Amino acid sequence: MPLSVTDRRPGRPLRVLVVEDSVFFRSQLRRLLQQDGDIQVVGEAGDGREAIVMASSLRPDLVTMDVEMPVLDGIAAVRAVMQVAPTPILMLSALTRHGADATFAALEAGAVDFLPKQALQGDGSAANARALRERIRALVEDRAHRVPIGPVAPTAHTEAYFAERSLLVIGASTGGPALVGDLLAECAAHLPCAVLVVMHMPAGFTGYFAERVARHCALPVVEARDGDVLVPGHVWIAPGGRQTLLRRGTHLELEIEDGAPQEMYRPSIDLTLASAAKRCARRTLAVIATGMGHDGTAGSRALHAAGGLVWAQDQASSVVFGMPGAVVNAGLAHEVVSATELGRRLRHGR
Amino acid sequence: MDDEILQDFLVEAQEILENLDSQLIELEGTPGDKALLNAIFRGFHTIKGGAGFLSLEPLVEVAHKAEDVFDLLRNGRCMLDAATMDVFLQVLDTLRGMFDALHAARIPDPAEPALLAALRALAAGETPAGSLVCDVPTQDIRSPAPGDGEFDDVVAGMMAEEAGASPASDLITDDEFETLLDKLQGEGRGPAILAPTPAAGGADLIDDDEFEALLDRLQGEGRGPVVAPPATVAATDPGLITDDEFDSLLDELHGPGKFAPQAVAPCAAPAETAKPAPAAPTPTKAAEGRAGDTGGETQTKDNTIRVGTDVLDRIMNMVGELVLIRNRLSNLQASVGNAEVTQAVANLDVVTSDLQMAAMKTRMQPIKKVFGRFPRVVRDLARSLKKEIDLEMIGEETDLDKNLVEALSDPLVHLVRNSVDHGIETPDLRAAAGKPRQGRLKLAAEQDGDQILLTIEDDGKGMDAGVLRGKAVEKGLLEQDAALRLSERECFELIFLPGFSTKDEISDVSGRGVGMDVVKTRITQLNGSIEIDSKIGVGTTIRIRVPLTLAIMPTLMVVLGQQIFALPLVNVKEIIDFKRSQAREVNGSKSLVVRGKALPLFYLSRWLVQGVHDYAVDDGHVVIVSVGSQMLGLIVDELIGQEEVVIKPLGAMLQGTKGLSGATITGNGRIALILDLPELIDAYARR
Repeated sequence: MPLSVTDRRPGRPLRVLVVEDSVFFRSQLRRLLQQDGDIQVVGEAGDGREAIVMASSLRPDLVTMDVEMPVLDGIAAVRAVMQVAPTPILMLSALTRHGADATFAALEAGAVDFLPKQALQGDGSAANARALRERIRALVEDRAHRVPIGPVAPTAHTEAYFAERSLLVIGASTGGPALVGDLLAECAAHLPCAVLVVMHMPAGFTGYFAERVARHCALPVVEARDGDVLVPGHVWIAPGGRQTLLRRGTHLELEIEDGAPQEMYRPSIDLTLASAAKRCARRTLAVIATGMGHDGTAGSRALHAAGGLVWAQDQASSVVFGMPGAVVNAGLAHEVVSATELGRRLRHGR
Repeated sequence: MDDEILQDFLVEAQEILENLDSQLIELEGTPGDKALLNAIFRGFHTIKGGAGFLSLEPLVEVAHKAEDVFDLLRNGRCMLDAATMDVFLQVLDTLRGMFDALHAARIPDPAEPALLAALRALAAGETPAGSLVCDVPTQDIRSPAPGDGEFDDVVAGMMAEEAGASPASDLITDDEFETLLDKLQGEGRGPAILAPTPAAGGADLIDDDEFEALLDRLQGEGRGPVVAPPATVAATDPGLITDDEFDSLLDELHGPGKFAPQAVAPCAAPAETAKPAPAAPTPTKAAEGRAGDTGGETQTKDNTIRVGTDVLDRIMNMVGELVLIRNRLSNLQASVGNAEVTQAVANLDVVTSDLQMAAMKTRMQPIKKVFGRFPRVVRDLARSLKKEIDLEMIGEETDLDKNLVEALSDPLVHLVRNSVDHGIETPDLRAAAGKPRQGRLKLAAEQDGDQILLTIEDDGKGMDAGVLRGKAVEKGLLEQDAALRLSERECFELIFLPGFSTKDEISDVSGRGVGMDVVKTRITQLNGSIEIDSKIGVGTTIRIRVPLTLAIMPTLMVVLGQQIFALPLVNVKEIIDFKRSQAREVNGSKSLVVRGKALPLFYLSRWLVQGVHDYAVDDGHVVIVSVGSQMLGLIVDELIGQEEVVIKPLGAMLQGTKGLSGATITGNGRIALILDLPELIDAYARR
């Protein structure tokens, strides 16, 4: 279901509903969010039930949602809010296994994005709070919405999108978990290429993400490990906090390295694509999907130059059109494809 | 560290800690209670989150580990036993110590390594005793390892193809790759996504069925896809579901009846959104406070602020002044006799009363603050005494003045310990007496008019008046014949005498008999009363009455000589007319027989008015007061009537004068001294 696109008059502050059971955290969030003056916390809900009521009465531009709450937890609240008053929801989650679990459940339920709560604490919290505000602005201003892959009538398409490829790399960030989950659920069991998903996620989340999407995917899905040999019909999720590259041993295999701390993204889509450009460009198809920033553009350029194929997700179906937009603007996309069409092609499986 | 933020954190964290204390004890009785397990998990989770926000590592470490264990517990992968419980009680004590340190502006020390190790062991699935009760699945979700024979051929083919089909243009060179890499790395500044934290055990808690039901309700059966609402922020959108459906949803979520009908129309009537029905059985203060006035465009909702108690005290004091002026005005307007003035004063009267109530409310706290400690106190004590006790608490939400809550804390703890130690018997003794092995201890609080009634009731062995008499004589506290004259109730009150202890062996639990007289003194200082009711073999009930607030006191105004005095109404039992002829002289002291009972009789003027040591009247009034277990009659010259007074401290000159607790201004503008009857009688009337 498309989200309501609120009519944000220029200069009107961005209206945020904070859902969080800790009074202390609520007040801190309010403080951090309102620091620049352009974001206004219009409501604070202490549990999921209040969140539903307040989201429907206040109609905020965005909701920040905690997971662990009394009465009704954040996931159920996301689902209900998306039904009653569809609003972009940013999950603030704990960086634990349970937190990861809950986060993905929330994303499946319709939340657009998540940020680990730990980002707001301790040293560097000022920078991270800035990043949080940035994220909120981007989510609202890109009129964030999530378009689930719609039902597709089986068509008689005969194009072979994947048959000539060894490797499909899907790069995504904000809005990515939900999209990738949907796409993998569409994948035909006979998909003739290996799939490598590179998504901006913290360590600890990716393994669980793999486990989660595996439940709905016809193909085996695992978190990538150093030395894994790429084989068709398998899906690898690049581990969070590290870099995933391709190397040639006896076979084409994955190389996982720690990466340098100054690297902005771990995993970096650019690095993975650049190594693909080097190892197997002609046999690689990269899909740059929803996400903030422009990770993937430099890698796409390398891949493009080396003969690889690049698709970008279209604006309408992207939660944030940053990354795909950058690829399109740089003239690197061979094709601009909607989420629904991507799903159709994967289901088609050739 | 920003002190303001730290204080905000501490306020919440301490509240959570208090709850955890009683929740843990409750859990011991119902170890499988899912809601309770979740609540405790969330408690530690929230403390951890807040502490993390403030980078209070020692706190984070303990709370995080505790949270981990409760994550296992709530997912049924671990069972709670007494040893585990002890670890958690220790965790709470540790957290408490850390909070205290923070209050004292110190950075808390890390927790005991032994405690952390115990938590680690629990999280790893071991009980403190070392046996394995947890079943933590190892996670290996990898599907058939690539490289299996099945795939080898395919891969080999793929690789061969790749190798064969790669012209030079297909590849970027190593150098180009390195350059790109350098470029990317150079570009990146700032922290990478986020610091990883290793995943702790955990599982999905969402109940899909429950949720489907909710969605069905929301959408209504058989409805088509929901249409996106119009692009507007105004809260007048008709919404996607009907009011009834929304109502059902809320009912579904919370059980029927908690929401008034208007709560279901968040769109149509935003101002009334989510106001709980007045008759809501569960307090939903938070919801009311925050969600009660949703709907405005510009509202910001931070509905709590921290205010120092000194500010509240000042407000209360000024409201007190206002009350006095109001009283004075009411008096004056009678003499003016102008209808408009009368009207204005009547309005002032109403507003002042409301203001007084509102100001009092700001100082109110639930008695839970004290009661919350008892589950722990009782449990620890019962364990050490090898007794089995079921603690029941009623009326925890009863509000009373903050100062009272604090002042009542120690006396109540003492009384509860006493009941557990001296009142309730060991399981064997109980069984022998034909009682259930488990003793019952009931704590209740209720508002009774402008007083709070606290009851501590046990079903223990009760008190033996004869034994108490004997003890009192034995200890030289009472003459034999005086002891024999005591009524049963008066015998019970003997335990409030200094130096009285009835247990043959003094345990380190209830102290050494110095406690009860202190308890009594404290309660009396609060203008309260305490009484004991007991039956041998059945149990003991202790009732404490205290005024709702300490700042305003109902009094009886009397005149002695030319001066007005206020007697706390709590002590006043009755007033009777006095004829000199009714007084009897016994052993040189006066007494008055009221309904067959002889009460000591005193001229209050002789104590309080200068130069009238042999003052006597033929007619007057006798105010019969009760102080502790004692009843006596006080002869006064003139009665003015009942008046609520605001207690003002005495000036430096009078401070510490025996028998005076303060002063106040009367309705006609005069100053009245407020009597502290227990002290007064102690100073002048004792033997």
